[in-house]
Amino acid sequence: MKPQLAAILLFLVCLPLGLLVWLGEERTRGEQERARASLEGLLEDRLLEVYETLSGSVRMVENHLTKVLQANLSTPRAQARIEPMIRHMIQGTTAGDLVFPLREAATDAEEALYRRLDLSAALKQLGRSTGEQGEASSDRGWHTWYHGHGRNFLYWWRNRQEIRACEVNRMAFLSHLIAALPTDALENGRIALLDESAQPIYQWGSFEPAPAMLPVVTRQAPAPLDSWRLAYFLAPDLVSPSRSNQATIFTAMLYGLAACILLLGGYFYWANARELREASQRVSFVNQVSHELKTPLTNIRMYAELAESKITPEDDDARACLDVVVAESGRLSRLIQNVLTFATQQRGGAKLHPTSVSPDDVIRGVLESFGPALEQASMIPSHQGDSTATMRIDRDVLEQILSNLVSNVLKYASEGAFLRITSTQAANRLTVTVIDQGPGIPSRWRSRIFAPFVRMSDRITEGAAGTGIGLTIARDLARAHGGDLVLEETDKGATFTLTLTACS
Amino acid sequence: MKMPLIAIITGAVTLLLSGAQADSKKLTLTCQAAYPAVLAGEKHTNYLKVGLTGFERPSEKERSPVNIALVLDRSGSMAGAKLTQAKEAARMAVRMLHPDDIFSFVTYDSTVQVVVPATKVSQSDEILRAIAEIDARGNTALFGGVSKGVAEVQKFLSTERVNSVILLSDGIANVGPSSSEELAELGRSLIKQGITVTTLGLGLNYNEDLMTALADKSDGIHRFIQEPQQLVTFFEEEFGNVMNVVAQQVDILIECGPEVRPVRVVGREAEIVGQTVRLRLNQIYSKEEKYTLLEVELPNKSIGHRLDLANVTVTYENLATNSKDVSESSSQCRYVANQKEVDLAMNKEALLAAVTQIATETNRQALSLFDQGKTKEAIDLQNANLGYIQSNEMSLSDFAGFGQISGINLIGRNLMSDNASNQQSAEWKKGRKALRDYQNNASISQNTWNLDDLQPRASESKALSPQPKK
Repeated sequence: MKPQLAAILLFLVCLPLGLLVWLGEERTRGEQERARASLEGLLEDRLLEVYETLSGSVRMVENHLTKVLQANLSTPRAQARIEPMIRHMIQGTTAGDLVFPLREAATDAEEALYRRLDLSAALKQLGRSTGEQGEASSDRGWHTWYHGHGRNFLYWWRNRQEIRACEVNRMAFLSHLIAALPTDALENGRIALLDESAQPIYQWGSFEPAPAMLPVVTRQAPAPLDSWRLAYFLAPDLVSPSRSNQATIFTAMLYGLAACILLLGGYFYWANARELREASQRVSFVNQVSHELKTPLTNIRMYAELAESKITPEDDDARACLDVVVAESGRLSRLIQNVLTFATQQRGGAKLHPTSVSPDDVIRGVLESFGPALEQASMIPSHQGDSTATMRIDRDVLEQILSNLVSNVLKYASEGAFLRITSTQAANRLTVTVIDQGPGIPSRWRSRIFAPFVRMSDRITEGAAGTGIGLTIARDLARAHGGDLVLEETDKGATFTLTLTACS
Repeated sequence: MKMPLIAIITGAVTLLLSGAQADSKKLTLTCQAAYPAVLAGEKHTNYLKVGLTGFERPSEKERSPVNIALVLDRSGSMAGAKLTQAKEAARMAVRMLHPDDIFSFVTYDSTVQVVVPATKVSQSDEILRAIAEIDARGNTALFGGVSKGVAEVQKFLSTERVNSVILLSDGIANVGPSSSEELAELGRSLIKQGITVTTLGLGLNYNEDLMTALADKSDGIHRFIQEPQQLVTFFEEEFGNVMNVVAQQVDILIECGPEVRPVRVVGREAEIVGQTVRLRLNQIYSKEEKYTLLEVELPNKSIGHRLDLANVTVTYENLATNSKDVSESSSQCRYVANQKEVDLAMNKEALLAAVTQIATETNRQALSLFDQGKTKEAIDLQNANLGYIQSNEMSLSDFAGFGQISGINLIGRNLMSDNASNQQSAEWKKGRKALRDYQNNASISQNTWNLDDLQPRASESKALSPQPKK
């Protein structure tokens, strides 16, 4: 196949194909994004519920601790001893001075508290944050700091005179929070409360995320746990869920269409290639047959001419018969020659064998060889020769071109009963025109008559035998000989102009 | 003359003797000084043993109702014989329960499952079915599991039931808080609520520090169970222990005499403010003694001086009478002229308690040094510990408990020397777990301890047969 044709075919297939695929992907992505957005919304709602649960638990603890702190704290140690959520009680003035526990009277456990937290500094900070503007915006709250394994919590309450606080037992606090959180209630999901280093503190749900997996959505835990995060993990096949039915059908249709185009393109390519292969095989076959025919034909012609010379002049009937044999075998020779020339050209061009000849002699010879046939068609050829000087051209080439042109006139334009051949020489150039007054060639065929195997499907060609390669061969030969063969524009009939350049 | 003197020498002033009928349902409180007589003209360190013995239950059937959460590790490592045995243990537990008991069952892997929420044990078939369906998988969310177990116990928290969580695990905790400090903190909160955690460590790969910390601080027992085959037996014992509890939320208040300085309580956490010492024990078992050892500093006095050492007040929830009871006791000490009188007056039981607690505390320190890589210091300290134990041999060699304490510390020393360079060996893993088991036992349950557990391999066949702690 010609590269341009293949490229065009490829382009024709690929363009709609690419377009369809792009359209399909675009739609799929849009669908997935929508699905993901709605999924994230759902998951965020779930995390919000968990957040509310946690806030509720925290509020319960806050209320309880506030009650403890507001009670008369005459025996802070006794309070700390019985409160599971409290490690130590702390008391100070709003000015930030520590009242309890004083270091000089501290128990071992309180000594440890001093090591965990700078009590005076913490109290001063609480005093400052609430004291200045008279009535503070809040009279209770959390104070957190890092020590040991993670975050530590202090809950404080104040009135006009004093600040009371308690160090919260982190583990009791956490245990209390966990008690309110669900156990396994999620299918294919996992909600986790993650600490500062994204390690799970507590989690539920049957899905086990891979170690480095990122959650689909996260949410900051409520204060004072705000350095922790709630995270929702989901199995990857749920995150990019299967599209809705409609979208699936649409996408399937798009891809089906794309597949059809691809198949069609493939079929065309294959059919074309097969046709080309078959044509080439046909030519090759015809070529071989033609070679086989050539030898017996040459013998037939030779012996027919021999027989003609031996016939007595009186035997007119026999002579007429032999004339037909000679003429027909001459025609057959030309046909075979045409086929062989075409095959040669298909294989890479004919080789010229120039000799010094007079073009007019050649033209006359051709007309003579067509004599009986022309006579039978009631045509009287006229030769207006002006090229008698010899020039170096391939005699066989000129003969074959002219034979093909005259043969065409005989076949298609015999009704015009007119054939004129003119020839002129200029420098090393020979110009020959072959003019008939037949039906002519319609303009729409003009550009195509030189293509191989083209025969006008017209009434002109009806009943006329032909191979469809005559003109092709004629023009190719002319071009190989440094000239050309063109069809002139005429009002009536057809005029072919042949130019040849003499060989150096 | 001699009889009243001996009465004073023993130092045990038992106020429980009055009203024998009512007192059969009360704890027996003893307050004994290791040295009821001390040399005059010197300052002294003395030890005060405050012992509490549970009364005998009227009959085996009339035990205290329990409120138990069983928390079972079902992480991947439990697969196979361990889980099979654990499930068998759980089934046995359910069969031991009475209709009035409250039982809950929590399992954990990466997440926590409340298999049986706290409920009265009337539908035991359903519970058994739920237990049968458990399989092993995933990670170890120990903290979450314990938290949920505690939450189930809290639903029916009452002074009329024994409130207990029994944790069975073979692995380290790797989801949620997982350090021994953090679990200790949880334990400190639980003891305030009267909830005890019994921890059962299975195999050689669990975190014994974490498991003992949780048990120690909640006044619970920790046990090292080396082989799955031992599990059912050990579990039965500990489950039996919980059912054997006759008093809980036992608050001990020790008020030292004006000239007596309380130094420390050895083996337990206590609050010492001025002359006052407070601490809590969570559970007292029937017919078994639990004690607290207080180290005190005595002033220099002249011969014949009598010193009030301490008054002890114990308040507790009596599970037999469902009332809050109080017991009181006190202890005195006198100053004598010579060592012979001191030796004669010596209270060997109290001294054994002192030696046990001090040697155990030193053993803890040695193990801590060993963990820090200070193997030489650790072994030196453990050798010094053995020296300290040996120095009391004359006085205490008659006691089986003394032989044990010296034996265990000797084995502990040898384990440290043998494994100074390789702390990953199975022998060390096993030995370390046995040491932790021993430390917990010495401080918390104070039972006679099975020495065989510490022996490497050779004693394995023995360990397979049931060997009750007591």
